[in-house]
Amino acid sequence: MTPRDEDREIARLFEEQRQADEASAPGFRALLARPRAGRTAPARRILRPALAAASILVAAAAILINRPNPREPELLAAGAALAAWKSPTDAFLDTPGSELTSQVPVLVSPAFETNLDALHQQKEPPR
Amino acid sequence: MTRTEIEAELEGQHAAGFAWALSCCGRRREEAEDVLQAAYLKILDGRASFESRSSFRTFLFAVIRRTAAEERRRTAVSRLLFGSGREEEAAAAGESEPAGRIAVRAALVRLSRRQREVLELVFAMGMTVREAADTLSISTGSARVHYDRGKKRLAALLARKTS
Repeated sequence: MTPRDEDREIARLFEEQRQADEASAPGFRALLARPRAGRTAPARRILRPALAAASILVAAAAILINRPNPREPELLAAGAALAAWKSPTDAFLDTPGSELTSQVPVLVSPAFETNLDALHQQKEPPR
Repeated sequence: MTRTEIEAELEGQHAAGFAWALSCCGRRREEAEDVLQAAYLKILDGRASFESRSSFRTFLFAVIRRTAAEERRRTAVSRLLFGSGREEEAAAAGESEPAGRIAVRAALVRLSRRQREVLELVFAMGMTVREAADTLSISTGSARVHYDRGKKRLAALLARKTS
């Protein structure tokens, strides 16, 4: 069988199929007039209540999250009291010499550095 | 185009449209009728409008194909969510059907969707490869590749069946 014969054979088989399909077509007017298929009806029957329930849940959650706390003034006062609290043993931390650990030590004072520069200038031999 | 003109065009292409809808719906007759009706309503309501860029037949076939694809997706989602949906089996071949036609149908099932669509449009509907490409919204080059590969594979499958 040549490729051309193959093409012809395939075309013939397709043509037969098309003719059979076309012969079995329902009437145009009848197809347009028939009630629309309820193919999504089962899905809608379940989807609608599910969506409604989900909306109610979301609304309830939003209300619960945003509702004002009745104990808010008490909590604020407690927070302020906590911030102002001082330990009764704080005074024990003030020991003699504690200022040495609370400041950055200065190893060479600026006055000493100035004197050192003056000394170097005096020692330079005259040119 | 007025509604009366559109209706006249649709009626003129009705038989071929039904054959194409059957092909797009895996030969499930009831589904093909629903898809065809939905496609007609889309066109008549103006949800799918004919812009005269191609022939009316190409436009109609493209709408039918798109509608069938939507139906397929809807069925898949429905089956996934609710475990229901249309039956998958295609209509059983009639006892009086010639063996050659049954063999072609069995071979077509083994081709890719695109190859099957291009071959059906060209061989069964008498379209050119370019018209088939317009209908399938693909380039003419792609349609030509699908046509060549599909035809070779179909010929091989049919030859294997007859030998």
